[in-house]
Order: sequence, then C-alpha cells, then structure tokens
Amino acid sequence: MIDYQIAIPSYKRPTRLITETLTTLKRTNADFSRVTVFVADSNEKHLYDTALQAIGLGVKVVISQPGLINSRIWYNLHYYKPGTRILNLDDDIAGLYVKDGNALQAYTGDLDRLVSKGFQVCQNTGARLWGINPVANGMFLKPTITVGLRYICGIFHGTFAGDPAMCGDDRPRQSSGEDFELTLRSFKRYKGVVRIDGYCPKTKYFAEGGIQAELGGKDKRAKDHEAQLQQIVNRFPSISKLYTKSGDVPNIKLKTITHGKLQWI
Amino acid sequence: MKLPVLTLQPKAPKLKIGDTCPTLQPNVTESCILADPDGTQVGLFIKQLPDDLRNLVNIADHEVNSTRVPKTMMDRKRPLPPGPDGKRRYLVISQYSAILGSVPPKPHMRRAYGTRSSVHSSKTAGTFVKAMHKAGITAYQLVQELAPEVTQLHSSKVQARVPEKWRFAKHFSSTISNCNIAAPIHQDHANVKGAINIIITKRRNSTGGNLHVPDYDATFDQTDGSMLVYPAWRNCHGVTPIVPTHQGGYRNSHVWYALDSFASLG
Repeated sequence: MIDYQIAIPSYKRPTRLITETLTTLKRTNADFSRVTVFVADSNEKHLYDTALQAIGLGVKVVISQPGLINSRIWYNLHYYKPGTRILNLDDDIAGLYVKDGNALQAYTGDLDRLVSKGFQVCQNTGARLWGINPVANGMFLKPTITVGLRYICGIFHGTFAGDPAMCGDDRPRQSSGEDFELTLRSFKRYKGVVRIDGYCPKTKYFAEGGIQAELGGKDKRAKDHEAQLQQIVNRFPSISKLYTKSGDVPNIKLKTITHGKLQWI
Repeated sequence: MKLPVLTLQPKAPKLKIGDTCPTLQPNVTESCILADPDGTQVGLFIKQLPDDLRNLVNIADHEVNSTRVPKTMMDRKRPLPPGPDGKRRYLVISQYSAILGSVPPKPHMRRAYGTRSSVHSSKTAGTFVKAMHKAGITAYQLVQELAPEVTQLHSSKVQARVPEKWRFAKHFSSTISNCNIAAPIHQDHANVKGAINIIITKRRNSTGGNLHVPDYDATFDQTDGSMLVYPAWRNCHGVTPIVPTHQGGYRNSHVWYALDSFASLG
C-alpha cells in the first residue's frame, strides 16, 4: 500500500469538519494518524483542539496561514517533506460516492484503495495531480480513470509536497478558483492530470464558512470568484473559457484533452 | 464575565401540571443569574455560548439530527382524574429523543435494574456520545465560573445521591436530546432534589419553543445556542409551542440532568 498523508485546511468550521469530512474518513476506514488539520491562528487551534479532543480521533491540529491557498502552499513548503504524497481534502465532505449504474452508492470500501490507485496512476504516467469526479450524479460518472485535461476539484485531490504547480512563486495566491488554477498549471507543466471518474464527493458548494468566511461573506465571494475565474481564463486562454452556469454562477469550462483511459472502479 | 442578577418573584401560577403551554412572548431575554428573593443563586441564563462549548453542542446537534444516532419515541404518562366512565385516564406526551448516560430501573418494563442507555452501544453514535459528554463537562465549568453557588449545591447533592459509576459528564447521571418537543407543564420529580438541569437549545427557522415557568411567570428567550440552568425539580415548567417558519425548521434541546433513582443501586 502506498504511503501518504491527509491534509485538511479548515476555517471556522470545526463542527463541519467533524460531522462531515472526519465522519466520511471514519466510514472509509481511514488511518487518522495520517490526518492533519491546518488552521489559521492560535485562537482557531484552541477551538479545533477542544472539539477534536472531545471526539478523540487523534487528529493533529497545526497552525498554518490564513486563507485556503496560503494554507495549502504553507504545508506543501514547510510542513511535509518534498515529494510526500498528500491527499488534500476540504473540511465539508459529507460523503464519498461511487457509480452504481446510473445512480450513486455510498462508498464503504477503504480509502487506501482509492488513494493508492490515484497516486499509482500518477507515478505511472508522470502526472503530479489526481482527483475524483466533482459531479454527484451517477449519469455523469464513468467506470474509468482518465489521463489528460479534466477539472480536478479542490475538494478531494492528491498532490506531491513541494510541487511547483502547487506552490511555485509564480502562482497567484487567490483562494477562489484555486483548483482550476492548479489543474491548468499541473496540466501545462506535466502534460496531464489524472481523474478517477467513477467516484465523487458529496458536498455543498459555496457553503458558509471556508472561503466565504475568508473573503467576508457571500456577496464578496461571488464577486471575487468571477474576477478570479476571469483572470485564470486570461492566463490559459487556449484550454479554458468562462461561462455562466445555472443560478448565474460563473464557471470555467476546460478543453477536453484525453491522452488515455483505464477501466477502473 | 459578571452577569446581572434577576430576582425571581413568585406569582400566582396561571397554569398547572398537564396544561399545554400557550404561546408566550419571552420576558427573560438577556444573560443573567437567576436568584430567589433572599438572594440565593438558583440558576443562570446565557444568550450565547462561548465558542468552544458552542462547537461541541453543534457537533452533538448535527449528529442527533442525522440517522447515525438511534432515537426513540418516548411516551411520558401522567395520570388524570378518572373519566365519566370511571376508567383510568392518562395524559400521554410522545417525543422523539435520544437518551445518554444512566437509565433507572423500570420494573413495570420487566427491567428491575439500572442500565446504560442503548445509544452507547451504537457504533455510529460515538461522535454524539463524546460530544455530549464533553459539552456537559464544559457547560458545568461555565456555570461554576459564573454562578458558583449553584454548582456548590448541585455538586454536594449529586455526590450524595448519584454513585460515581452511574454518572455521565461527571456531574450528571443522564442527558436527553429532544427534537421538536413542546412539553406541557410538568415537574421533574425524579431528579435529585437540589440539582440543576442544563438546557442548551439549538434551532433553525423556528419560533416558540421557549421554557416557561408559571410560578414566576418567566419565559426564557431560548435562541439558538442559548443555555438555561435551572432546578427543574423545584418548579413546574413547560415549553411554548414550536412553530417552524420554513420547511425543515426545528428546535432541539439538549438537557443534562441528575436522576435520584441510583442512590440505592450502589
């Protein structure tokens, strides 16, 4: 089994972290000694420590830096040894699902199996980023692993510590749309990313807390999101374009590039 | 933090045990220490919990609302005067709840021994149990800080009446998490005399559901994340009707209390 660490940056949501992501990890028999929660400051650390000690999972809480992207870059550069395999998770993953026909079924298998596969395919193909399908709809999931250009959602993705695509000096420090930025940077650098298409997380996008709290509320986040996405598209015009999805939410469409597919679920 | 003292003035109660609590506007709306006319501290009301305790209660509340915690339909029965046909009548109040900690003997249910709540043996309820345990301890520490007289009396009575092995969250015997229950006027006769109840309210998109004490005509504004500490054994009390304002609106109360039935069990 491949060795890896689990990093969860969290901001003002200890309840969500425990009742959602950690509960999901528990259901998938995760090894909690690998888990580190990264918080913004000492006040946050006290709150997370109190809550986590009560639940007693043995999860470490480490002060990193305020802001999702700053936190991710910080632990990549300063906490984990270069090259460490990191499973990066959001703090509000209510469940992990697997394709079951046209429907979804809660994944009750081992997390290790899924994560090992992701890193293994990365190593075999030279990619440095892998993730799962962001769409929680069995119709759109496929029993495959794709290597090429696909959106790797920040909710659940694997990286290697110190990867310049993640934490290079030229990387903009914006939390909004940071997963699009990472996907595109990684694709440009390594010519491909890996997506396990048959699995998806269950989460609430644009939820309270997290990036919304970091940016000072829903309206500010919406404005910031649109501006950041526009900048990302400007940086990668040939492989991404901006569009507006239902609910007037701006989003990025990536050019579909497929180098190879593998049947796996 | 020093809280103002609210002296409870006895009033002629308009409601009696068994009556349904009508909709009443809260008249205790700010954090305060509750005291008898002679100045003895009897309880406490806090409008907003400190962050660490609030997080623990949020976890417990989220868990009890999930399918991970087994919940039971509990019937509270109170005898009423016989009906015109001479048959015995009871006032039965059904409520959804999850009990933790110790459960007293119930010989009428063929269980002549005390036990632990079956929720403890549920594999999926671990987070709920731990959060409630820690929240009980943290809430008690807060009461100790703000109203030490209240905890002194509670502590001495619990030590005398609840053997250590039957305790939950160190200072209580049990907890109950009630979902959407507006209990009619009742009195907690089974509690240790002199002990307090800690009641933390969690709600979303609902109004009402405030505790009313007819003996003092006091109705507490139990907003989301408020805490009421009150000797529920002493006066009758009830909960005003809960009205969801949006679909899925709810009002839960998490109560820590000490039962008197364990003294003889050793």
